Amino acid sequence: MRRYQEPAFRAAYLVLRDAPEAEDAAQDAFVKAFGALHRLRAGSMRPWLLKIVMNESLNRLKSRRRRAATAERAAATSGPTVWSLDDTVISREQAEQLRRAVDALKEQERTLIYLRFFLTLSEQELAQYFKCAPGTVKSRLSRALAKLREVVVRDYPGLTLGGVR
Amino acid sequence: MRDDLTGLGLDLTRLGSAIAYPPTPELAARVRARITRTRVTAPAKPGTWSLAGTALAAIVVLLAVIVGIAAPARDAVADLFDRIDIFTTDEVPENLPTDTRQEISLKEVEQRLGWRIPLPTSPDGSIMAPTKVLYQGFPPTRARAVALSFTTGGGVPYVILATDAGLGKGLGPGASAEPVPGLGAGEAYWLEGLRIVQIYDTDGNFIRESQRRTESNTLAWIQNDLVFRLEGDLSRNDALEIARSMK
Repeated sequence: MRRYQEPAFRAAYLVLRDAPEAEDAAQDAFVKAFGALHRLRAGSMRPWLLKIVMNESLNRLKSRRRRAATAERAAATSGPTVWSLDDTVISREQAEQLRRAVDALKEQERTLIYLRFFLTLSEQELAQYFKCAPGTVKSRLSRALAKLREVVVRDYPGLTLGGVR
Repeated sequence: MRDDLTGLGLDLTRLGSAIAYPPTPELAARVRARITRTRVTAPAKPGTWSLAGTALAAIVVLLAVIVGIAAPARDAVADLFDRIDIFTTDEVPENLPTDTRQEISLKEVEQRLGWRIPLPTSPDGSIMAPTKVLYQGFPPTRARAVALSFTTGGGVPYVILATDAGLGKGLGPGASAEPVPGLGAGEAYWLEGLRIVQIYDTDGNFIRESQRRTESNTLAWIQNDLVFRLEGDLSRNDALEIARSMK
């Protein structure tokens, strides 16, 4: 299990952006995975487990938002909403803008980007995750990137990274 | 998927690399403990932690039967329930806790533990008696450990250690751990080099008093729902022969 705990925790952290809650989500996901092992028939453990982690994390995120809305509290009170960023790889400003652009995507597009680019799942693993053909993964990814490019061009025209000029 | 690895995809990869994730918490043993607690309906009696372990083993066996012993699921069960934690460490500290193990008889230790300890057999088939038995409990946790000393026919001393808790092996620089397929019930490793050895409580926290430093060649495996390790100046084949002879 230890080989999966880092990707599981990181996946939860990407969605929840709060370490203690990500830890709880990852733990719950592992417990649920145990109960659902009979459904793991073939393929790799990683995408199967990450799907459970992502679902658990997204459900928690929705609950958090509902609680915040019910209490009529500002979203800021419902926990941190950004990741910490290391500016040695990419400038902080560029990273922040790109992060905001990713946040503007639909949940499924965002999840696909997390899985492919942040958690580095392979094409085969993504196909297993989404239960679709590898070709479908390619087209979904292509659409998600096109959508992201639109958001960047429209909302962050000053962002001049390798792929968005 | 060429397009996603160039241009915008590359930018996203850079963004992904720039995320300063918090340190990954230790989840494995906590998850195992949670599953044990939720699945074991009968309350465990004080001092009988092995009941929880036995129940967990029963769950795993039952699940394996339910899933039809499908190879992926069987591997997954093994993946999710590693009792032997192999990790790396930059430093193996020297000032580890004082050894508080207590020498007692084999009969007495088996009474305290509530389980029979398998013993190696000699080439003529007779069961070998340990020359020394050391017991250690780790209150307030329910983890317990026992160490049995033996000598091979060629006069090489070795120790067989058993615990009903989880076992951690921290590999220092240059140390190695190789999986040993086919020994015991699941995980088994052959370890060489300087290491930390530690035991985990049911919440997955390592027990400081259990930490030891060792350089002895070690075979670690699971048998009868206990974690065993055989330490001594033995070859891998000799250690395997002894482990397989244990009854």
